[in-house]
Amino acid sequence: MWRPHDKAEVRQIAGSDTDGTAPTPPRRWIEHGAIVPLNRPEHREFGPLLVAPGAVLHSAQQMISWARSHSLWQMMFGLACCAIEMMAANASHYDLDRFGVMPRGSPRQSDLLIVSGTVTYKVAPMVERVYYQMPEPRWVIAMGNCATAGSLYYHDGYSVVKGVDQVIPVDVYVSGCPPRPEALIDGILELERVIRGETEGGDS
Amino acid sequence: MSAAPVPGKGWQPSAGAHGEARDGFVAAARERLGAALVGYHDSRDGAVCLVTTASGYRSAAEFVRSQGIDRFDFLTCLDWPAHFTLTLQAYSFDTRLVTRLSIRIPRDGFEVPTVTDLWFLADWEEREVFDLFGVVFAGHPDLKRILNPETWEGHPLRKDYVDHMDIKRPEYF
Amino acid sequence: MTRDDLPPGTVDTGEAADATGAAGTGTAPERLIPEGEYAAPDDVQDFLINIGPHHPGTHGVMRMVTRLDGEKVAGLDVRIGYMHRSLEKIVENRSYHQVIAFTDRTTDYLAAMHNDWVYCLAAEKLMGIEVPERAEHLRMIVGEINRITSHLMSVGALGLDSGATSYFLWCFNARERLVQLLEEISGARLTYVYLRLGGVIYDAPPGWTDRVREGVRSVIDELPSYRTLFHDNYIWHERSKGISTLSPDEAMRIGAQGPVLRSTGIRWDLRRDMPYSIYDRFDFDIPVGTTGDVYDRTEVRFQEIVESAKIIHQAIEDMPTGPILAKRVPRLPTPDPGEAYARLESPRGEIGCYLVSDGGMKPYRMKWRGASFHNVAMLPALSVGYTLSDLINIVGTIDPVMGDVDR
Ligand code: SF4
Repeated sequence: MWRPHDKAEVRQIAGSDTDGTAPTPPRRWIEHGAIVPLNRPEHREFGPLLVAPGAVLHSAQQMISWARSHSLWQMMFGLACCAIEMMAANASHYDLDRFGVMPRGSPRQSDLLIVSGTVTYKVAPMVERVYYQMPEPRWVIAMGNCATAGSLYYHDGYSVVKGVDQVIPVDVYVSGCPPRPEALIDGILELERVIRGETEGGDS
Repeated sequence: MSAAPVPGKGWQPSAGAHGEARDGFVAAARERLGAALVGYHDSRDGAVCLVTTASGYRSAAEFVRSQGIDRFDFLTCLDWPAHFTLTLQAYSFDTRLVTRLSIRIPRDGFEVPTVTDLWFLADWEEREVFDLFGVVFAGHPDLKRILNPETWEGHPLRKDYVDHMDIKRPEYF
Repeated sequence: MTRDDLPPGTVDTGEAADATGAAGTGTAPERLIPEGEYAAPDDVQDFLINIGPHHPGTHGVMRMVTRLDGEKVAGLDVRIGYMHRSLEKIVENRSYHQVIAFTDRTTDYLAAMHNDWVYCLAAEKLMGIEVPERAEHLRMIVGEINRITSHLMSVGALGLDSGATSYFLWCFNARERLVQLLEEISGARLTYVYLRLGGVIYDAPPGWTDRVREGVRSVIDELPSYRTLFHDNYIWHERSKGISTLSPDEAMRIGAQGPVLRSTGIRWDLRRDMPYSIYDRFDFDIPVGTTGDVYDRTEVRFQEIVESAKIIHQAIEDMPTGPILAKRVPRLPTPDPGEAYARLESPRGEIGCYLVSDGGMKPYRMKWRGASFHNVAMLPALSVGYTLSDLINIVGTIDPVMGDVDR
């Protein structure tokens, strides 16, 4: 996982807020273009910016992660009420396509599993199987309180798994019952940051 | 069965229809069921409730069906401490008469005759009652669990069901 | 297992045949698949295909084990229960007010208002609560808006199933506008816990009724273009007309309900035929079909949108002022021992709620009569004899919501 170890220096190199002095020591790749992850909040929303001149390719891994984070193909896996909000997020008004998230019908073609709804003991083996059918690298978003921790069915719900993380590993949890599509989009943006190594993930 | 009635636009059930149908139905029930009919009453939602003996369940169901009560509502079970109450509700498309048929059965070891041949929808409802309460329906074409996995232990809607997977609240909570 | 793992002679390798005229052993090769196994069938050649539990065409997690004869469905075994969320057990441990949060999530979540409504009707019958006039009107308006959103979702998903993705997007665009109206009054987009025992919880915000009128009218105005895009489309006609026809007798035998029943020509709608709430005061039509096929069922749903809009306009017209919640509904109701059943017409058919009280503060038993549960039960009767690709459309037209099937 790569992190911009010296953010001030990187920013200087990019020339975004320098005072005109040349950065020291000079590095050859400055002349060839730069992709600099800027850590200002407004830039974080839109990912790394392409900053002319030159490209900073710190490592190939960084570049690949960047590309991956912008093309998350999502497994069409609707479980319960949250699936409706997931569909709403995919449809015209919220349009997840803007973020490169496309619903796919087959786990073999998808990178992202959005567990949208209640996981019961009867369906848990299928969730697990879908997860292992997806090619690496794969990510999981637990959408809604049910997938996070069992929600209203936590007590007395004899047939409900109390959180999908008992079955498969989860990268980002999105709370809400159901989460609004905006919350899901926020969760996906958080996942993009996780993929790019900017944050460790967690609650959204 | 007879062709379904097709009420046109503006059709309204006549005000007395329900009362007449109810009286006729109750009289026929007393005549046809005889000793099997333990009692009847009107519930507070307007349904006619027949209570029959457990052995008279099948004949009572056949009687209800023969009175043109063709729309199946539900079949369910109630777990009282000493016994189960099996309740079947259906209503009539013509007269809108709602009928509820109840029997008392012991909690275990009693086989209820199936009514799947009378109402198509009773098939899954009986499977559901079997799944959740463990009531066995004799003569059901395919009696197996429907909601819970085949390997599930116990019948969850019984009041004495213990959920071993339930997450206990921690002591300090 | 690769070809090399097989015992020698079982695979008819081309070179061996070229060299010797037969396999290496000198005898005719024993084939893996006996000759004639896949020959043109003289009689029925069944095989099983499993659809689900997760499949985009099943509208949720439902499993259909399909026996195919060629491309035709010869038998169908529907397995459900993947979304069983123990509703009936949970409500035995909650107070009467708390149950409302469960009924709109655990059951038919596309028509959450209707589920809350039927539960409230049953509980109000049990406790003898009178609902104020304004609350009845508000319930009716939100219920009918919810019916439109549900129908839009249903026909849109049908478009998605049959390849018309843009139709799905159009429907969702219209749905989104109505969902925002519901959000404005209830605070939630999908699981509005808006109805309460004895009324509703929030009054309409200022100007809401005007926005409802506008929003509903804008959707109705768009419907002709939807018709041009999808319902009058030649491809859709080819895929839907004459598929899964249902006669009125057969519909009554298998207990069809809601749009499936009406598509066969039977004019039966609980809103008019067993009126609940204040539906008997309003004037609306009941659209029916003729043949009960996939096309008619979609058409009935599509036309019901217009009828719902009529009801909304009338209800807004004569909505009185006044209280929205009945007085003296106890915080912890303890109804007398007894039972009550209420039913209403949800977008998918008749739903019902059977409540039994033993005099305590929690329901002794609640039985949910889901419309989708019964609709899915009759799926084999509708789909046997049609092709596998039609099966997906047939599932779409009975519009199952898995929460309602499994509860
Ligand atoms: S979190 Fe809420 S909305 Fe989502 S699946 Fe669970 S109950 Fe339904």
